[in-house]
Amino acid sequence: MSLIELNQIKVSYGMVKALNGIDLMMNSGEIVCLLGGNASGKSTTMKTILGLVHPTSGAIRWDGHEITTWPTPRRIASGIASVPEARRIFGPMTVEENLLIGAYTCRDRHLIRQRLAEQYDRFPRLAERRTQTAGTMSGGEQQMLAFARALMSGPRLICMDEPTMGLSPKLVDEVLASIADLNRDLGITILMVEQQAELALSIAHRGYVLATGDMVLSGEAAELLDNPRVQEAYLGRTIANGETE
Amino acid sequence: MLDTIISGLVHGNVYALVAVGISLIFGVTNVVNFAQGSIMGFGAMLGWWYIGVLGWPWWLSLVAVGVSAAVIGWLVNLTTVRPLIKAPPIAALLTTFAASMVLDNFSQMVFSTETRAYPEPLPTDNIQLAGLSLGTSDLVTFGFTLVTMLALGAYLRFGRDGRAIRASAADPDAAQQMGVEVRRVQNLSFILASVLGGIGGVFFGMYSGIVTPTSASFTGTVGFVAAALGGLGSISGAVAGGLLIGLLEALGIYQFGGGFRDVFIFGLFLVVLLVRPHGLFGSRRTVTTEPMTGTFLGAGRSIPIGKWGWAGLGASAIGLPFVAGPVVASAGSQVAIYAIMAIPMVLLAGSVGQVSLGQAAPVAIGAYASALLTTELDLPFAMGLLAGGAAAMVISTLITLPIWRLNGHYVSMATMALAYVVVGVILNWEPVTNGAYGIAGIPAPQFFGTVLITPVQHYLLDLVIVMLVLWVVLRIQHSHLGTVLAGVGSDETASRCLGIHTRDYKALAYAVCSFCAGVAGALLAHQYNYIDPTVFTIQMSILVLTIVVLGGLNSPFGAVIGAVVLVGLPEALRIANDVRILAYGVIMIVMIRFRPQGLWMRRAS
Repeated sequence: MSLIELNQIKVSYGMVKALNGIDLMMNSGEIVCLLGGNASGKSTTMKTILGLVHPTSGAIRWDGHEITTWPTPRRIASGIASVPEARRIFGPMTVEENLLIGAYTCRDRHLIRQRLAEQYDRFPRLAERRTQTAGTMSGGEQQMLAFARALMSGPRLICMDEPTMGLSPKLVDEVLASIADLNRDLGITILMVEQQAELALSIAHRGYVLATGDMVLSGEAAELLDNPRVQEAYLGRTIANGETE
Repeated sequence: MLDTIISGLVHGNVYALVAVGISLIFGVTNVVNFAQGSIMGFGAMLGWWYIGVLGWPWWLSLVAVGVSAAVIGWLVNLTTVRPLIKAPPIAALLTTFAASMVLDNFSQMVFSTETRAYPEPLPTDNIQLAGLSLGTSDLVTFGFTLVTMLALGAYLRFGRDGRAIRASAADPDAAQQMGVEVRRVQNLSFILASVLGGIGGVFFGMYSGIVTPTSASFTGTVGFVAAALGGLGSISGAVAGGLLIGLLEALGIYQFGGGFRDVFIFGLFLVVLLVRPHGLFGSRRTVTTEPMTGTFLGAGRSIPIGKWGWAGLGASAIGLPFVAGPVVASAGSQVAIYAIMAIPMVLLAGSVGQVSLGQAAPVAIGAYASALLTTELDLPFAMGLLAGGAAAMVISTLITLPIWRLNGHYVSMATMALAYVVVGVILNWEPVTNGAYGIAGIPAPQFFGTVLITPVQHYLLDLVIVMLVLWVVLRIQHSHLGTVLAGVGSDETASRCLGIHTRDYKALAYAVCSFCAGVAGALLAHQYNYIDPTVFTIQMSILVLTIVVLGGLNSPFGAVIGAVVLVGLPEALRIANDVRILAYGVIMIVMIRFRPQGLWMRRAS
């Protein structure tokens, strides 16, 4: 059974239609990559899953429940977490406080302690800096914190909005590797919006392509990488000579 | 001397309580809650009632005031801030201001404007310590504030919701994505802030010994000075700011006497806003630079009137007093004078999107300048009128010049501070302004030997000036300059990228407003024959603003309609003053909530 399923989701911002009835499905344990140009509806899809925007029609099923009308906190508590665009860590607060906010929807103190310890185990760098003001850390460390913060709610699905944004090429590789690790070690399902389509597809199992609010293409990651339309639009290759630049 | 310092610190504690609330709310909602001072004022009066009238013990009264204030704060959030959370910040700025007007006047109606002796639940000078006399009352104030601040600090650091408050302040969107209920956090911050404010009010009553609804709420305004001094949004800054203001005030009064208090405090406020808007302890980052009005207030198009429409309106305005008589004519003069102040505000609040909460300042400068020039130097009326406008423009614009780099709350607070400072200076500069006694015997308006004495004559003179101002403002709106001004208002960053000196254009719009306000002030002076500082109140500033909001921020003719509705009708129906101000507040809240484009506007689409 699928972990999450979006069915004919329509979203509009006032007069502007952002999504014109899209379908999206993810199985437990997958990494799925969402591709598309500017204003194609990638972020809106993420926000719809998190409950930050509400669809005008369509349904979202999560783990067998209809969650279309659930508010964000309830979705987070039920196992959906977010790594927002541009990391958005809480700059003036300490590393540990950031992590604790990640566990806001959890009321079990014992469980929170345990998860905190797990994150410090997984990211020893954060343990070293637990009392440091988060805003003073480097971009890579902040990304690490954003992952750890998302893990604090004990998620089964993490929505990542451009996790490699603004990082150096070396760090991009590291971040993608750690996403693959999270998926492999913890079995967490990951939905990822990425500009760097080739890199993202290299760790993803499947992918979807959005264009101006419509789902135009979907398939296995390898298939998408070979698809000429994807290559032309997102991978910077031209069909004419088929060469890689 | 040591006595002075201690009393300064006791007062400072109260300011700190109010300031912390202001910073807390600003951090979470990015709204300067102008109702905070009024909540403190209301708390003081409630305390008087619980302790003095009902005879409750002081600690029970503190709890009761805290609970009552919590309810009020929650209501203020529910009615004025939360519905507008997606609207530009100017909306909530205006509605919280309106809420403060409603609260103040409600307080005056319930508790009356009488000066009340505050009960002394605790002795005020029973402790002698190394030549100092202290009271249990002072110690309780100190101890309570200290414990509250420590508890609040611990809560924000270690409490689950406390941390959520800080996270929401740092990044509300990200906090929401972590499952923080932003609404709940907002409610919580309003409730906490109001409890602190209300209890601060009781302490104010305990040390000042006497209270009126206005004195208490005015002391609350000092809380803004403290919050700004510490840096808006900074909790520890607010505490430091409060104590510092308390000390400076006590030392200032010790040195110069109590009369200078307002000038001193609001002068300091103004200087802080102009020189260091992020405060002594705040970070520069927190100073907002987003445009304030955008397409929310005054959206849509002004309803066109047409050539014949204007001619008909002009003719009936001129004919009105001959049909309706002198009583209507003198109400009409009032309407016209307020219209003269309000029409150019279309350029400031509408086009460049900045809200002046202190138009009484240029009005007062214009009135005094013209009055002094015609009485002392025997200048003719027309010269006085123009000089009044010029003086108002030059003085107000020069003083506020640095603030136009910034936007929003900072502009509103600075213009409000200017109004307090100007009135304070007039009150204290006795050799020139005659202080509280005012200036009498100001000559009636006069042109080439013809003295205008009757209400009808005054009305016609004012009407001519209204038409002039309308014409000029409409011309500016539709000129190249008008386009630039609107550009600065709708996207300041983009305008700056086009090479527009946005600060100068904002200042220019303010200068036009100040000139007209000065002329209106001069007219007022010559038609009343007598002026004193009490004419130029904060209510006057607010009325001007309410008029433009009611008419539609982009509609000069709307401002005239606003003046007719808000000044003319109450005058004609002889509605009592306190009811009027209450009504202004309610009208402002309702308009912004349900018809932000104003009366004389069509929706954009």
